[in-house]
Amino acid sequence: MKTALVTSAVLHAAVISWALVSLSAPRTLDVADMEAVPVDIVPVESITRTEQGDKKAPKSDTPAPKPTQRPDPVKDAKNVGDNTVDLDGPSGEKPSKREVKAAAPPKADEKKPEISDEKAAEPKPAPKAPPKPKETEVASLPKPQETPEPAPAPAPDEAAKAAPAPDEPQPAPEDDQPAKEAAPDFASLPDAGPTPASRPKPPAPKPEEAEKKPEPKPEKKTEEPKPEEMKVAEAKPDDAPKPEDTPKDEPKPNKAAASKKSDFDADQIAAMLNRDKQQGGGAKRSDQEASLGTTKPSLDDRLTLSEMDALRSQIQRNWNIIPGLDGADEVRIRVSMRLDPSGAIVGQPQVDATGGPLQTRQTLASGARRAVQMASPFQGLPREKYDSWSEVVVNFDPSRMY
Amino acid sequence: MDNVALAATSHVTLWSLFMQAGFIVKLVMLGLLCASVWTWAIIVDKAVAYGRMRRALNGFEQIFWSGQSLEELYRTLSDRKTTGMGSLFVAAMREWKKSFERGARSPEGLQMRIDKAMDVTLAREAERLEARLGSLATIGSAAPFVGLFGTVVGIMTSFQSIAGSQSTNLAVVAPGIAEALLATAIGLVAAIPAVVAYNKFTGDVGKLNQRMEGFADEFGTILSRQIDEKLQAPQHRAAAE
Repeated sequence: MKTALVTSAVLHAAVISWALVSLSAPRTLDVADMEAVPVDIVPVESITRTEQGDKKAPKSDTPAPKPTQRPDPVKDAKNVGDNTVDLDGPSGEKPSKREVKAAAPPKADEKKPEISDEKAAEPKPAPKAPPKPKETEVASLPKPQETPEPAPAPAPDEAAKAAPAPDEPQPAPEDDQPAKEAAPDFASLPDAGPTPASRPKPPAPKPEEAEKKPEPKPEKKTEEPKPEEMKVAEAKPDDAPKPEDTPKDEPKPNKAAASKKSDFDADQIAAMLNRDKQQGGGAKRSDQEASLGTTKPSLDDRLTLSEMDALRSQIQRNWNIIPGLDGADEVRIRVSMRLDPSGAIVGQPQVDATGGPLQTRQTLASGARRAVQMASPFQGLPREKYDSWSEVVVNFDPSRMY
Repeated sequence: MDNVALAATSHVTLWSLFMQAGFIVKLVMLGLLCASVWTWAIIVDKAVAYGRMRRALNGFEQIFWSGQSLEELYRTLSDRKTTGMGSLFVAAMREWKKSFERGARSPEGLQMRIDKAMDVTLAREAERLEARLGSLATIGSAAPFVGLFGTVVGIMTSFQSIAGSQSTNLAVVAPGIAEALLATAIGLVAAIPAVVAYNKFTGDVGKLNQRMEGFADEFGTILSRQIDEKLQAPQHRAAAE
């Protein structure tokens, strides 16, 4: 036995040490980098039957949100508001000042249409929408890349004007006037960002301008620690012009410059760091008077078509229709009844039959009355909508029920 | 053997799996490892013992049926350590001798005594053959549960630490579970050979016992014939005189 024990122990030691030494960890699985797609099953009522109102508006029959001001529609927008993109959240007093765009892949050729779209989509009737001179400029210029040398006079002037009061509505003519001259300016602006974080602003804080002219805020320029980055930025004028990446709130020339230097995309980071309050809600336009209701979309309390059908089928199930009644095709039956919250009929259902011969009409009407009473109490009616089905009218066409 | 356990590990090695396990799980694993060592010790021991026994039985049967005189055979075997049929034979012959030396005259009594002596020897031999097979059965049936216990405890602790880490990422969850599963793997590694060996050895023991019982019966009939002859011979002699 001792020999056997020793043998066994030696055997185990050998196997375990072999396992420890020669068996490395199994190959890690190759996991394809897939994006999870969240799938949600949404009843159609949540789209077709939602209603939205305004908390402070007076009550009216149908709730409606505050009317929006900008007429340009966004396709398939779900949230009411003045925004150019459809965002969640209550529609605020102002649309968000920054322009938020979906991150687009950084393809140079995509930029042009994007910009021109935007230009087309943005007339400027909204008093508070900041003007965007740059986009029009850029769009009007066919090839801004070739002009690296920037900075005619009017742009900085405009900058000087715009900088102190960013929220003020800008007079429209200003857009067109500086357009052509300002464009080269932007052309030289380095930009890598496919995701511009901010809406274009009057070009106050650009590095080129800083070199050219003393700005209204010179101390900001001098604070900038990396002049060589600005050079780098200028040295690559062939980048596609992007007006959007000139920051509005603060001058950030080094941001733009840094983005040029490597893959490191400062614009994306800036987008992540966007701390502007999202306001302005979605982009669905509303032209009704504001009236009382919840600001979040909620289902209205009418019965939906499927709920109505459920009710109707409960009656039909209990309805023995005698086939071959004379003129049954022409009879239409209308049953009105009052229901209590449990779905049971209160009182007598009122059955009105119209059309067809009298005999048939009476037969069908009494059949309908019996069916309704047998079907009571009705199942499947949503409790929270009791207001809308406490009195319910169901129409039948007996010819379709054979 | 233990590479079964290794297959369950992800990016961690066997040793790190063992080391990061909790105290109880480690204890369970070590216990199971000891059980495995013990199982294989028994397996080796029994395999050798049964092989030797089978060979001894074959050899003895050859000698026994070779026509050699039983007296002579007894003389060679009585001063040697015998197993199996050899000890049966020696026990029966010893009883036979003793009875004749003291002048026994009752054939029934002698027959009974010889049978008893052989039964006792047979029981002793069977006991020797079956020794420690019980622990094989115990390990075979209990080791998976012990391993499972280790796994449950390990998963409990790893869930607790997952809850502490506030992350449900699979990469966080997996090592703890792999480590816990190692206990079950070791339990199975110990249990499977134990069960297989137990079944095989019980079959072997049954066969060996049957052979010895058969021999005991045969030898009993031979001896009883001899007794009859021996006891009748004096009567014949007396009758002839």
